[in-house]
Amino acid sequence: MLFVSVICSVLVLIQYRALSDILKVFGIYFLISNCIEILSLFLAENKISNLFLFHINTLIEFWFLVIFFYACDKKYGKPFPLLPVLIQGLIIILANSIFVQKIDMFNSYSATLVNLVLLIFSFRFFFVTMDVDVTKELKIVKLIVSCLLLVFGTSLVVLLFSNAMLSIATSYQLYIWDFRGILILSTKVIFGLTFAKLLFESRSKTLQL
Amino acid sequence: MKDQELMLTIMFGVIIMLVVIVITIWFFNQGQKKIIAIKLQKKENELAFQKTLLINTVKTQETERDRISSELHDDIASKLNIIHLNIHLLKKKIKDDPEVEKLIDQIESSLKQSTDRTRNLSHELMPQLLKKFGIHHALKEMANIINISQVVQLSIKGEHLIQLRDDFKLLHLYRIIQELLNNTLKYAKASIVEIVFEPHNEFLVMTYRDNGIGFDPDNLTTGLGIGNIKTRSELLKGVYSITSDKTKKGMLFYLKFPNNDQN
Repeated sequence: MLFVSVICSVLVLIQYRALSDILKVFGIYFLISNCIEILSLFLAENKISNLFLFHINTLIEFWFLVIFFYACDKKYGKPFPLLPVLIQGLIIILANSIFVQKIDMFNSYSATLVNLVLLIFSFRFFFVTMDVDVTKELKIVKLIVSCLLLVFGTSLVVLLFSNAMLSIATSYQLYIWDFRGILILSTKVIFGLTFAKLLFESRSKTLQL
Repeated sequence: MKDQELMLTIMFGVIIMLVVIVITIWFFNQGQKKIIAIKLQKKENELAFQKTLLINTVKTQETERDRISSELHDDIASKLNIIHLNIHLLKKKIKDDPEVEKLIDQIESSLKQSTDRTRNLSHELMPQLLKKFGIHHALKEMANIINISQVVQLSIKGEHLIQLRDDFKLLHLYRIIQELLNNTLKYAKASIVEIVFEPHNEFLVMTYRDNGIGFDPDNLTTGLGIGNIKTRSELLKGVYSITSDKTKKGMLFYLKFPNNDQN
């Protein structure tokens, strides 16, 4: 997981300048998300609680992916009002982290809500781009959104049952979390390969010139 | 056992969710493919309709030109000639009154101008030589008229290689040359124009070259009759290209078309 995250982050950094606006937003999210992943793995290795990172990750995930879908809509359809969505999301996530599931607790409520909202945005994206002519960028964005859909869909089910899961044996809990982890890892590999492909293509173009 | 059941329920929920998502993505992709195919078909239909409309417009235009030209030539010009003849007879009969004679001279002169103008207009609308004696004579006549003016020296080579028999196709070829010549005379400030016909398998290649000031191909507008040339080239089932450069003087027009009526 750590190895894939590092490789993917490096690929995004190398390729960042050549990316389109939509992919730049996703690239930044991907980079920060990978950094949080690496940090959480480091903290876990050192037996330090990393639950607060889950709160931060939820907020970052929500903000960046909402901006990503806004950028997609701006290019391929009619954009939704960005600021109200961002502010409402921020208030709900912060309220949950301050008053309901505090920073040292697992934030299943806001994470579930964020997953649900992003799932709706992903479906909306597919609906909006149904009659848009397929371009190279749209193909990549669709691949990314498809992967996001799979991750959010799985996460939503897991998070919905997260409180119930606390009552079952740890080994069983691990099966479910590992399944979700494998899915996230697979999507990260796909994202990494996509950025690697872009990098390879831009290099070949330079050579041709 | 209860733990295992709960785990299996969650896993089942996850798998159901994954299946639903995959089916949804597939559904959207298929939908998009269908929508794009319909859009593409619509665009193709629109293009085909526009092309047919353009071709029909050109054909109707030529038919109408032919009709007006025939009316001018066979009816109005003939009647003007008869009037001219009668006035000539009238002039012979009235010899005593110099004032009337002068008036008749004026009428005769105006009548001659009108007859000439009618005939020219008739020829411009539909070249009678092309209609009656074919493209070879029409092109020779065109070269003669241009060369008499001594503004431009026009030479045509290989016109005898034209094997088209279809009147409309011959007319389109003639009109293309006419349009190119018009542009050269109006804008190019050229002194030499060369038209060469060369065979290339079952095709004929026409190259039109002038030594004028040239133009920027990026600024080509339909005002130069390019649209007309394009449509007529398509009607000839030919391909064309125009090469010119502001820095390098002159213009080169290239047209390759099937040299028989079967194609």
